[in-house]
Amino acid sequence: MASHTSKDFETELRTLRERLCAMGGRAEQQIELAMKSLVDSDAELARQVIENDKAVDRDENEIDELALQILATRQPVASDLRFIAMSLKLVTDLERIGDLASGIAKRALELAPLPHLTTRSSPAFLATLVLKNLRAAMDAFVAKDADSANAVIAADIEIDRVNATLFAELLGQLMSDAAAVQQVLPMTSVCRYLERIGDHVKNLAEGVVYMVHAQDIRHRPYVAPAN
Amino acid sequence: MIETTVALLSLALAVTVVMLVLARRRLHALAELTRDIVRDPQRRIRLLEESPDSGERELARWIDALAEQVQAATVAHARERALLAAVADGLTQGVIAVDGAHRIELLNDAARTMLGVTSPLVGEPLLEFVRVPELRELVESSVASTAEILLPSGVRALVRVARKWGGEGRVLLVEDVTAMRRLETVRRDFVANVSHELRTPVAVIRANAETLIAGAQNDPKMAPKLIDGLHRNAERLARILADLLDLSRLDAGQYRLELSPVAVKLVTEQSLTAVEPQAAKRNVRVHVAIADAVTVRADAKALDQILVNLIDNAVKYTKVDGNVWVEARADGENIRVEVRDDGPGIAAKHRERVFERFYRADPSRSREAGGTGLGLSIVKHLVESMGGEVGVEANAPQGSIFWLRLARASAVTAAA
Ligand SMILES: Nc1ncnc2c1ncn2[C@@H]1O[C@H](COP(=O)(O)OP(=O)(O)OP(=O)(O)O)[C@@H](O)[C@H]1O
Ligand SMILES: [Mg+2]
Repeated sequence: MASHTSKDFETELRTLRERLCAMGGRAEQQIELAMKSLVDSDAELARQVIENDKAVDRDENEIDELALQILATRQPVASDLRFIAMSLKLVTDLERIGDLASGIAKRALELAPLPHLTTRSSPAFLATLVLKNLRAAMDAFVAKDADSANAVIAADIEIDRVNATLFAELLGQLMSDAAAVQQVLPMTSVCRYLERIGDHVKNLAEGVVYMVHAQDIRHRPYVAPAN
Repeated sequence: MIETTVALLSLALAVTVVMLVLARRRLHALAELTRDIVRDPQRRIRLLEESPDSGERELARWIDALAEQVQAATVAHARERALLAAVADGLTQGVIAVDGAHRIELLNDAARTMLGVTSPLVGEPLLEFVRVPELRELVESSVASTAEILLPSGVRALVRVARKWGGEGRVLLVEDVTAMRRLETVRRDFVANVSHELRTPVAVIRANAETLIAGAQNDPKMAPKLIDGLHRNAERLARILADLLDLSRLDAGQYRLELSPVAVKLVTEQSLTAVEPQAAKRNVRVHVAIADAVTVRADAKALDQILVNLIDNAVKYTKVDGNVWVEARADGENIRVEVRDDGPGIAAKHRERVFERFYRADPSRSREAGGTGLGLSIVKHLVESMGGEVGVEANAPQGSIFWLRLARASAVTAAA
């Protein structure tokens, strides 16, 4: 009987892990499609991304419920408890990432009917960096790998740097070509969204480190654990 | 009496103890011997053939027989696994088997390619590795089901999930339908476009003819206009049919091309005469910069048709008072010919599709310019039939670059 119960518990934890991974995958896809709709001026795709955001919200509710139910019925301790606590946090970050992706799609929708801005400064590269970091954070979560998670945290500095350069370029364009304001302003929003997605990814990675090391590094400079 | 009894009893006890100890020793020795002959086949054979002790020989024989059976079973098992792996890897369909805890038990080459991974992944949790919501739902569902899923690698896959016989696991069959879906779109668009392209001129011809029959033939003001419309649209139909015929001939490989050294500059000058009226009308300047010596291996008529199409497009789609550049230069063993313009350009999402039949980046503009939407598909066919390559890029700061790469003719010594 006892083994039966613990097997159920195992299954519940696995389901929680799998659902979180699927939600992470959905968030990745939302960013990818939102950026594609922006680059291709594809209004239909942008609308689809905005519609898909409902699925991300649904993910959040269902995973929250699952995590709380495990907490209530199993009263887990130690590493299981840390994992579940971390899930509750992870889910909110992923939901915010979903919101920001749908924000990008909304800007793409505004830009779609306007003529193409001929400029080299495109947020596409920034998006690639952010996506790569999100993937790495999810990989670190799956592998319970604190070192990779720390690499994700470190890479956020690069994202901020690229964003700052891009922002300056877009502003410069605004100065030289006032007529472009209609196209440039939404672009600056997209950059801001991407940067905020980057911040949430960093949060995810910090959660992974916490889960592995039981050490809350948020709001504190990171000190490598001695080993 | 009692003493002798006690002595006898003690003796019996001592003998028993000694025998027990001896038996234990023997048992121990037997165990050691067994272990040695199991581990060491050489020793086994020596004992089997040379031992003076018949018990030892018997033991060796039994163990030898057992060892043979085990070995045969192991070999058969390994062969079966290898066969299964070979069969699975030979399939173009992806096969993934997972156990009750969704850990990967088997993953064939095709599945690995579709997932975009190189590592074996056996033992990894599938759903944590491939993070796709639809895949999770599919694996979780209690009945066998199918879904089309966009994998993180960009592959569009049709995934069928079946329960594994006698287990909690699942078997996933994964089929790459990316190319098929794309082709379906192309085909659907083609059919829709053909009917649309034919319907418009036919409708005009029918309407004009009916109006004429209904009495307009006697109206000196209306009749010439209607007849002109008849003529223009009949011409248009004829042009579409001729283009379609060209294409189907190219498709069927009936269009015979004769490759010989052709001077690009000469052909270009000839092509220009065909587009000059149009260029003059739109006040577009065509700049040609090609050295006399640039020579390609090509069919002169085909190259002319290619250049007419590309330059005609550039002149047609650039702005009024715009510019078109035609250039050719050596590129390794090849010659790269470029037709550039400073027009509005082609958005990235259209760029990869403009070579499809009837595909238009800006349908209203193209139709207003009198295009049938077949020019570039003919160009692509011709270039490829000559073993070359054609493509389009964005021109900076604006416009398009259509380029083709053809083999350099060996007669040439120094190119541009
Ligand atoms: N230089 C160019 N600049 C902008 N758009 C172009 C250019 N060349 C081609 N296109 C786009 O690609 C489409 C396909 O070109 P294609 O030559 O196949 O057809 P078409 O010009 O419309 O008709 P036709 O069969 O008479 O050539 C065009 O409709 C146009 O939208
Ligand atoms: Mg054309």
